[in-house]
Amino acid sequence: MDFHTEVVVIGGGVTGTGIARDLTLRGIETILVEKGDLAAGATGRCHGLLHSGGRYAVKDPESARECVEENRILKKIASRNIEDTGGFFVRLPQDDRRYVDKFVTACDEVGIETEFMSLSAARKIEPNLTGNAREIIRVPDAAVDPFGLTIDNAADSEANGGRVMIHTEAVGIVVERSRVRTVLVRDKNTSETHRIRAKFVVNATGGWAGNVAALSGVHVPLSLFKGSLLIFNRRINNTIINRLRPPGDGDIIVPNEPTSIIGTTSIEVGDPEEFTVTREEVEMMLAEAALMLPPSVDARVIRAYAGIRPLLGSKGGAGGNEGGRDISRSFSVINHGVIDDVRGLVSVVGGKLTTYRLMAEKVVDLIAKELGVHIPCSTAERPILGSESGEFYKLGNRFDKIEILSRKKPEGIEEIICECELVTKKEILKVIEETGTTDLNDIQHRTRVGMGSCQGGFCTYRLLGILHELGMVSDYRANDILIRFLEERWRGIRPILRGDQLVEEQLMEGIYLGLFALDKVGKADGDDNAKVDKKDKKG
Amino acid sequence: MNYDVVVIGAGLGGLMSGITAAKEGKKVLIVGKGIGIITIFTGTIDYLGHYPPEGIRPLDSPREGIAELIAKNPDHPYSKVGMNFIEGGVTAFKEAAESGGVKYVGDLDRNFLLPTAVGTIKPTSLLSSSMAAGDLRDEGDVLICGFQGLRDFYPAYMAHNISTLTVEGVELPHFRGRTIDLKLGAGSSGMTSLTLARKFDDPDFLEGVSMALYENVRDGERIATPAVLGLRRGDEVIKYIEKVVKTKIFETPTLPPSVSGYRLYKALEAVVRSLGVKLLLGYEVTTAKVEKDRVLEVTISMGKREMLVGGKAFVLATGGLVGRGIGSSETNLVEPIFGLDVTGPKTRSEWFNKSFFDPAGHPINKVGICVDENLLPMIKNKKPRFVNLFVAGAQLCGYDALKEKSGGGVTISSSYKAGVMASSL
Repeated sequence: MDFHTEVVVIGGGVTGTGIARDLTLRGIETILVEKGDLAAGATGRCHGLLHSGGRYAVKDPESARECVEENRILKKIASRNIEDTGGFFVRLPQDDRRYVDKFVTACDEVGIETEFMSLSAARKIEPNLTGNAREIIRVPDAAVDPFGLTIDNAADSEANGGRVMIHTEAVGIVVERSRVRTVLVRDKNTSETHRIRAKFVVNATGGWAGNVAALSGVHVPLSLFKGSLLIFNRRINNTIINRLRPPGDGDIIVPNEPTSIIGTTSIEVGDPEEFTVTREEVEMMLAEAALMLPPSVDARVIRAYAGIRPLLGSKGGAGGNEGGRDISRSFSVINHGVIDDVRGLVSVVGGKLTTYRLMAEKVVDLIAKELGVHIPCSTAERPILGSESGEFYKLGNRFDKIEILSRKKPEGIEEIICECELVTKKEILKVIEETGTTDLNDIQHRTRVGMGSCQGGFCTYRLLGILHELGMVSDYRANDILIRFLEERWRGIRPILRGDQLVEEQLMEGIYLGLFALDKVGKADGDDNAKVDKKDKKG
Repeated sequence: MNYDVVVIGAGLGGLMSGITAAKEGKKVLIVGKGIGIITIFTGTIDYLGHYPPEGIRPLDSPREGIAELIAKNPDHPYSKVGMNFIEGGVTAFKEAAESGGVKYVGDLDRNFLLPTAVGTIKPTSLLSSSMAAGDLRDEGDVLICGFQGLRDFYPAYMAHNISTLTVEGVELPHFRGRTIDLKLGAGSSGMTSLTLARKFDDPDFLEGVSMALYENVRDGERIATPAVLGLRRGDEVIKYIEKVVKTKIFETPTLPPSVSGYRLYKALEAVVRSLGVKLLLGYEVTTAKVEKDRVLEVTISMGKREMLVGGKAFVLATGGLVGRGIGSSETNLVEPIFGLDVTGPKTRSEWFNKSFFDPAGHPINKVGICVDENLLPMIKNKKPRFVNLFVAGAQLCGYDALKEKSGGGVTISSSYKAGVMASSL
């Protein structure tokens, strides 16, 4: 099928969807294509931290200034995906005292509010904080749900006439007479190829930006740094805890729904899909977490994952041996029409989740100018679809909702499919109905099903059963979907198995290898064909 | 307090050892932290489903497979137990279960080939009579019947996957899936198997379900249901339904908690009590008093108090990693009560393979305590550490229950032998 539009945005992370939203709000025709699900790359593999800017204030004031401004804006426009936790910077005895003054001065200079807290006052808010904390400084950090933020941006773009095509990969960019003309995309479910004619192509693909730029023969020099994170089975902290020292490994712990997340590391890699977390990274981060929040020692780690930070600069170049921590976390908008003589192609690289909106604004400003559009950017004021009320997310909202439903409904309580995250069958059916997806990960990103303590150990079977009841699993062997899911799950779990988590994992093996004998089904005939069939979906 | 035999662990292995020793006329104590994994998994007893362990095709005869295994692998628990005790264990287990009220059928000559709730094949040797009509090689197509509101069983999914299976030399029956609305009303959505099973003990409910099944089944079909047909009186429930529907019915286990496992536990517990065995549940054995190569006493922690219990012989049946008979620390694996040698990979990085479904299995699943042919725990595989402590069940090293499908069989064989050996002192 052929499509016509003004701008094709490649990449369905928070940056790409933010760009798509900004474009459509300015009345520019837009199609966004994403090869996986929304937020499947670095967006969904980050900390979920809405920076106050404090982390960068000393070394990278430009990034810090961007962060603090965007922090304020996002709290207004994306409130429903933000939990306003606040953050502490905590100095431990082994950290340089002189950094405290530098930190406060630098924060003042870029406009980040800081407040010294006594240990007793801080521990009233955060009882698990170590008694060794020497100085504690409060900053306006917050927790943000990167999946929700991305999905809402995409939905807002669609509500304003944009089109969002997930599981659709850009496989070619046709350049004629020094101008992009057409993007070739492949629907990964049907394997069909479509042509999208467009005036502009935005490359917002993060770690893949080099590969996508190469489709049009353009070189984008990127350094890729893997940042690994660990999820604890429970919420150890209610406030974001940062180490008050120059940025290093494993020094931020972010509360996330009923869990806490520690990260990150920073290791240069060659491949944007290098997601392996090593045992050494796990051990290091656990040791660091225990210094700031001693009860983390008793918490179970339920999963390890990694995302790729793409930083502009040649391989091994500006990063030196500091794991890339010296490279500015600011971003670059590259107009390839100017530097590579490929007009209409714009790449955006670097930056952070916190500054995605600003990145989008700069990209769209450039395109709007070339298209002669006069409507100014409104994303700094206009709430994103769903956040109009300005109310922040609160932990427990989900529980409230289920309780209320159960009291209202005489026919009984909601059927809960995922006990760890309190996800109901109704919510799952709603996502399937609204998106038409049958992909387990798509449903997971939109409901949190399987993201809790057992990591889908119980609910994945139920989810497949439900999909099957709906007639949405029609392929040769439905169990292949389950098998693939379990293999993917295993990748995130293998590095962290120890103690109680090892016991839980043995239980899962007992279920899937023992009870269900899924290891004895042999090789599927035509393995590649055995997948969820989109054609069967209703509507 | 003194006993002839003190059994540590109250799961399938602990109960079988205790029953065996009590039948030998011994004064027996069973003490366990919990009831083990018996109510988590299926309640079917696999002796040997696959050999070699990475094999895909199910074994027809577990007896032949075990004989071959013993000849080739002297370190396997079956080799330590020996064929005579394996046979003896089958008889002892079936007797015990039946006298407790749950009839088990099957033997070592032939594996049943049962469909699982995800539509794969599980070979198993002994199963409760409530599952006996489920063999894939039997005559008759199958209606898989689920019940609305039970969230852990999906008939169409199961049927679909079975339709994709092939078994050499067997023409598989046709499976079709239906979900019946039992019109249970308030509070009936999102039930687990246990919740639904309780309802079957109500005669009116049973009658209603039986009629619904009769309406849905076709002539010539068997009926498969999830394993929910009565929490206590499974056999009676099935007899009643079969009279109404005029065909065979069988249960299929699904996600935990397991009703069939619960029934088996209750049956064995009843036998233990009828034999006059002292059963202390919910109490943990923390340490042991030993003198050279003899265990003299164990310490039972009872909240703030501690109780010392002496015995002529002890059986250790505290389970593997899941049962926490083996513990894992930062760096290694430990047996927490006696500090026995745990044999397994040296470092954590060797515990697991890259693929979850690696045909060779994960090395961690073979870890455990190595024993001699009397089931005495060994020091560095050379000589027994103790002469009156026998080890049984999932704690034994050198086999992969998940790959071989041999968990229940190893536990029953070794715990039966441990009970006999402990009684001989």
